[in-house]
Amino acid sequence: MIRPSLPEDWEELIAGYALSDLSPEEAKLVEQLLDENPALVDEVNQLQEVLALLPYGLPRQEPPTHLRSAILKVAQEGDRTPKPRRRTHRIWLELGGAVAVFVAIALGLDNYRLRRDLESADAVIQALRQPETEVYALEGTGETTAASGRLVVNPNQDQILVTVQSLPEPAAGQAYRLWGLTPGSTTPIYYGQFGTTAQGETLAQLSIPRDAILTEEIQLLITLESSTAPPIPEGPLVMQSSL
Amino acid sequence: MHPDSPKPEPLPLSAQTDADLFVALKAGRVEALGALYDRYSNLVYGLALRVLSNSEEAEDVTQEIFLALWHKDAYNPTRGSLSSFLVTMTRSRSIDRLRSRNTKLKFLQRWKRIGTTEGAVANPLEQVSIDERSQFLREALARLPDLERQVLEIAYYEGLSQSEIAKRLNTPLGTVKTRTRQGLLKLRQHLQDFIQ
Repeated sequence: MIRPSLPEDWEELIAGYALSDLSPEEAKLVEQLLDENPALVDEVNQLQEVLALLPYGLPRQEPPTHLRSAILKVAQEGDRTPKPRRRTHRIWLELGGAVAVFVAIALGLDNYRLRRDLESADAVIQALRQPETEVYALEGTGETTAASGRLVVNPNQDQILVTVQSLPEPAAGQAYRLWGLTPGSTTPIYYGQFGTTAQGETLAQLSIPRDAILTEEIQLLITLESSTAPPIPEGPLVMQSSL
Repeated sequence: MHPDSPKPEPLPLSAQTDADLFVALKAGRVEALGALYDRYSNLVYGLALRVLSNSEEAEDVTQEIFLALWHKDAYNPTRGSLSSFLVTMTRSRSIDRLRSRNTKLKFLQRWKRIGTTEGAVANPLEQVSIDERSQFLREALARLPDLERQVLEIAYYEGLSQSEIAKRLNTPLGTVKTRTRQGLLKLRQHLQDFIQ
């Protein structure tokens, strides 16, 4: 049962929750209400379902007839080659012996830093030599449009190597956090956090959670967060994987 | 799935429930994908077209949605109905495309307020046919006060924030919020009235 001690406007608050239009204060209040009144969770679910019924009210629109067979064809062909195509830059792999130099340039590292980060650079080189390795380009957004970077992913070793340039050093107590958002999912996967140097660079090694597969269409996002906050994205988006 | 519970399938695919079709789909039966497409492509395509106003992009979204259902484990039946999942994903992808035409995406707003509950999901129209759902929705929407329906539709189909809607309609923010929330609550009430 729903307790009588609820605020007078609890229904509106719950509706606002389903509509994602709550102010931060209201959101805090609703979270508290949901904790105290588990029955309200069903209310939220029901309102979200009602919201998802809205498109049934639209005029009937038939997709073009060729679309059905096109989709089924892709679905069947996809089964023969189960691994989805990823956006890769395989040319990186063809550089062979020059790979160390290339890494140094790609990472924007001078020789001194490269030596200091030899271990990490080695990891990058090793990762690049794996046939499974994927490279994702990152671009800056908003106030950090100047930032650029790469993600080197080695699924076999459950590792992600992040390299960025021109991403300002975070203030004390803050860190950059890397997230992945798969299509259709509303819960971002948290991969880890890293800082940058006063020169705005980094070479960070993060691990991929066991169940967090990187798919072709994953969106990789970097936000600026408190370094001690729980792994929920709250801060501004600073970089994202380029489409 | 329980490998030791073989399921005879006397019903044609078109008569099977979403849940049965989803199980068949996950078992790799492409004809189950076809049956779900026949059932929901109008809804998915119609919603994408409403948001994007571009038939080519709406086709792209439709293809993405059904292929995501086929390839990925994005849908979890314990979290809600398949129809609601398809609609929510279609809306989200369509609005992303819409925004990426102009401005940067507002990922965080979208993430922050998502319910992550395991409670019973109650789609009031789960038991009625798709044609009836359309009919009920049109009638329920027609019963809403115009101003409430207007803000609800702008928020839903255009993905605008409440303050953006307030600015566009030159209406105080508090009024917009109240209208949207009341609109949703009344819509639920009208739908419940229909099925009782």
